[in-house]
Amino acid sequence: MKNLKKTLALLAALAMSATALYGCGDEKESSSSSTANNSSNSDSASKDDSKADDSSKEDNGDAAEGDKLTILCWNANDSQPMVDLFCEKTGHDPSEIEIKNFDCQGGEAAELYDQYLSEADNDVDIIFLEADWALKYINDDSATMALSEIGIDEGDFGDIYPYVLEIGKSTTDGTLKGISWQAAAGGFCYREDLAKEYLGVETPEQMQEKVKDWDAFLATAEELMTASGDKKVALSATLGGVWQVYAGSRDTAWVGSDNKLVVDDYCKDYAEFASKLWNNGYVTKVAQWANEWKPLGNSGNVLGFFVSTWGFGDTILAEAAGGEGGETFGKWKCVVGPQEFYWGGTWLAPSTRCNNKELAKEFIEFFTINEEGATAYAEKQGEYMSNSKVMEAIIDKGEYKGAPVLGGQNHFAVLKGVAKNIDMAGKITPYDAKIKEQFTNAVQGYAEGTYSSVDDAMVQFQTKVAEALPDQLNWD
Amino acid sequence: MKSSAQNRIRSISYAKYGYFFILPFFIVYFIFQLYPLFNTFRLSLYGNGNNTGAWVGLENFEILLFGEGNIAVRAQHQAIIKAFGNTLILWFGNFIPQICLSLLLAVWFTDLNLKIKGKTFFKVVMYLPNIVTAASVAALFLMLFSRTEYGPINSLLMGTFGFDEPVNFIRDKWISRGVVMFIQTWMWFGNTMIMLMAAIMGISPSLFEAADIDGANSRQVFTKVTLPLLRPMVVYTMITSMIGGLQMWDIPYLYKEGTNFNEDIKTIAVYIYNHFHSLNPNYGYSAAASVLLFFVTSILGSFCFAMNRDKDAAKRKKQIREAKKRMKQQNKATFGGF
Amino acid sequence: MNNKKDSYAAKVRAKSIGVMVVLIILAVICILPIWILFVNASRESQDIIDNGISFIPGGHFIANIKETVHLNEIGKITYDAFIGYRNSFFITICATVLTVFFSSLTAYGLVVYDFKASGPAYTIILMVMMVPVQVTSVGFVQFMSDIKLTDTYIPLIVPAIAAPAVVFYMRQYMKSSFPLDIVEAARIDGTGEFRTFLTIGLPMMKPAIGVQAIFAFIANWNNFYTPSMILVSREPKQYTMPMMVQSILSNDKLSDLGVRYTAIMLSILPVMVIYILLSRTIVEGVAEGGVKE
Repeated sequence: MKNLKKTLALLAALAMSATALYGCGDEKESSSSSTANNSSNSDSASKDDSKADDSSKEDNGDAAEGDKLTILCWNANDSQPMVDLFCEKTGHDPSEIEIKNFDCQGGEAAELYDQYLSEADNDVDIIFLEADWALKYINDDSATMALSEIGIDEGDFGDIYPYVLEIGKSTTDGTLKGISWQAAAGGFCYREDLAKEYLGVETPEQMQEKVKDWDAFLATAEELMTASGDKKVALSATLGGVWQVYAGSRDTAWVGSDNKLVVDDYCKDYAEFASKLWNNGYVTKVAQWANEWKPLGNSGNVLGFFVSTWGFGDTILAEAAGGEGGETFGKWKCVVGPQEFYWGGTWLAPSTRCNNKELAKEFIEFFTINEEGATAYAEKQGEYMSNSKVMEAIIDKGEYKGAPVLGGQNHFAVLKGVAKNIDMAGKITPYDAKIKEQFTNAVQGYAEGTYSSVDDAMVQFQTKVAEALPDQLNWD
Repeated sequence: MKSSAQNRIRSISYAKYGYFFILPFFIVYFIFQLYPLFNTFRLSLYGNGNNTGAWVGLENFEILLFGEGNIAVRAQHQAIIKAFGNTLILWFGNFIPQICLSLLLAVWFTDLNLKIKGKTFFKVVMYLPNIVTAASVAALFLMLFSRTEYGPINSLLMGTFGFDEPVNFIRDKWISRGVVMFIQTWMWFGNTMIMLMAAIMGISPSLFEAADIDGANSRQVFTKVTLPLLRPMVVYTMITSMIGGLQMWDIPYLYKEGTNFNEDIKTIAVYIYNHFHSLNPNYGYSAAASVLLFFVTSILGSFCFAMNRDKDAAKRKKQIREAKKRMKQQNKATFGGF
Repeated sequence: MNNKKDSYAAKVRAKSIGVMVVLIILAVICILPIWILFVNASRESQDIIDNGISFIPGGHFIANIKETVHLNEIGKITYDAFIGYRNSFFITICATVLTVFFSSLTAYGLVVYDFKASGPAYTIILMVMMVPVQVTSVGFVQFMSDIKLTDTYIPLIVPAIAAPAVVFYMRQYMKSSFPLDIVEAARIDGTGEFRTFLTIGLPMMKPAIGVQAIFAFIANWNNFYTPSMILVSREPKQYTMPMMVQSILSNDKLSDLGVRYTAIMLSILPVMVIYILLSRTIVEGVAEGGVKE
């Protein structure tokens, strides 16, 4: 009995303190917001503002909702610096913009967006979309609207790389609904010291010659394997990285005009190619984004990584080199590689609920067409912008010295041709993410020996896509 | 005096209190859970993908159960059969070691004869794995069991134990299943142990003392005293574990490389989840699979109950009924006597 | 006679030693991954990358905690350990108290009273338990959205009243060790039914309540899915601890492994402390509290 009393008392005390703590915190927040907002968090500030506006909304009807530009995104890595710079340069007050950050991985954002959008009262002006699933919203006329509706016509985007526009277009009627400020063109980055030691390569030009197409790539991988002897140095870090590039060389869309899955020679070729890389050790068995992935850079067992414009900093390459002052930091070089490709990128699309068209237009233009804005952002964030004119000016000006991990090489200059040559016209379908996921899984299984032949692997691929997209595609 | 009070109390009907006591549960249940349940049943009769919202009757069930038709239909059937198989294998593989281990530990911890130092410490430690969120557990084990020579366990195997090749813990059919079974056991045996321990502690110590005095050895005590009295709790454990096992989702879902699922550990709940939470959702199949899972669980659950039918309770109920009857007759007789 | 006694004592001693060995091995297996988590939370990111696993803590424990706790001040990541603790404690404690109280009440109602609906009610509760959670949770969220309860804590707390598995456990527990005569005795003393439940029923169920309170606490504390679906508008001051952790883990630009492990560690720390404290008072208290004939 004594014990029970103690326990109950403890529980009660806990409950009371929790409630007190909670109520207390709440009070503190409301009082601080009623006076001055000392928190740096713009979200809490804006929330209080919107509360205050609620009363006025009643009188003004729906118009009052338009006072704030609401941005949906899955993390604030881009949106926060964008808003900061935008406000700094244009004189808008940060309180005019609200960032709705869903704090999740890009792939999970759609579900949370849908949840948020399912409530008709929730305000939204601009939606951030990842290339892989942008079409889900871009093809949906109840979610996004044409950029022309907020006053930006396709003709205004003359300087933007064509592939960036291509991904932002609806595949049902071709209207341009989304645009990216980034061009995520990629290249092959390799370690100078290892290339010299095993391949006798002195300059990036020589290296490019060694990996100029997939045949050369395979031959070089073999040469490297022989030359490195027991070290068994792999040419590229992961199969996933190779796939990012190889995916760009597909000539047709994954789904044909008859709405059927296209399984062609390209698929089998890649399966064979991947199996060769995998089983000969031309790539390591580490998965992309696994903990062991980036440390491969300094391991001495890997010559290079495929990296996109956003990956030269801490996200991939700088980390792989051991960070600033790391073992191989500054000893990397970048070349175009076997194939032009893009990897990732974020698109901006105006929502149909956009009731702040002026500001939305200004915001989107600032990072794309507005040369001053795009230049400022590129210089501040070190990002490769989608505006080719801006990028060429930056490269020509010569002030930008390239990512420090490359030790003086300007990767922008290397990649500027890549972005221009990427051709995505007619190759995008709303099911690409699902199809590619099943394809790489089947290919991986083939490489590992789960399936005895390429044909078996392709049957598996087809079956898994059929399971995932039974009514979305046509099946025999 | 006393007997008249007793009689008075017996004559009051307390049944209404029963309703009062279970009312809050059912009100909340009806508001917060019945609608979603109803919704699942409804969705299972509607279409998938581009046909979401179109009434298809029992077609989803037909496809899942028989799968006669084009590749999309066959693929769906194959997937669900495979998922059910995986689920059963993974469940058996973690339930049996888990229940044996927990039972053994619970008996040890409650055995007054054994001199175990630091009992509390062990109990606390063994429950710890259950505290950590499944997402963190999966991340931790993915790191430990990395399939390459750089992974901690593989580098140990290759360095100390002289393995030539790294073991593919993530994608090899039986090894990956073994790892998932191990993780599930690791996470849940402490939980089961504590439940069983609470039950054993609920058994009066005098029973154990009596058995001890009668010279019963520990196996006899276990089979003759502990186990029979523990039966309701073992039934509980079996049923909850069975339900949990059939709905096993988090570890099989999270134990993968990037987005590459390992088909050999894809459980039925992963199937349901993947078809529901997808960029291209198939609500019909997802809901139909849930309904099927529900029926399978109910059938297996009833089976468990039938096997372990609470005989004492049934007997007691019968006795009460007879006693009441007798009392009525007695009353009649008494009144009749007047 | 003496010999027999000695050999018996020796047997017990031998068995005790065997048991201890098994227990120590199991304890090591249980503790090792968690130990690694804590060790990694005390190491520098680069150290973790270069040297992989280590069993010896590094010297960056405090530094990592300092960095993690203040991550939100950088402005990009929604992480504030104190807000997270506050919200999570509030939700978890309310939900746990509701779960154990109403589950005990329901189980008591089912066991003590002999009424017509008790059989069907119990069957319904069992059926409910068998509904797969993966899909109903979506319907639940949709429904909450329809009745405008999203962005509030109500859907995270009130449904805790209906916890079928806990009711099932409580009922089984009462079946195995609850003397019904004691209720009758209380009636003779003239105690009200509800009062009987509070003063006699609840204390008798203490071991079961303790166990289920711990389970419910942990389940609620670690619940990520429901809050992340219910708190649609993502007000940072409503975030629960797992949501805060997720915002760190899902951020691909924050690759500091030390901070990532620290975030996970900070999220389980309070549960561990509470569990260790409560396990002493509740689970250990069972022996004396549970004596009954």
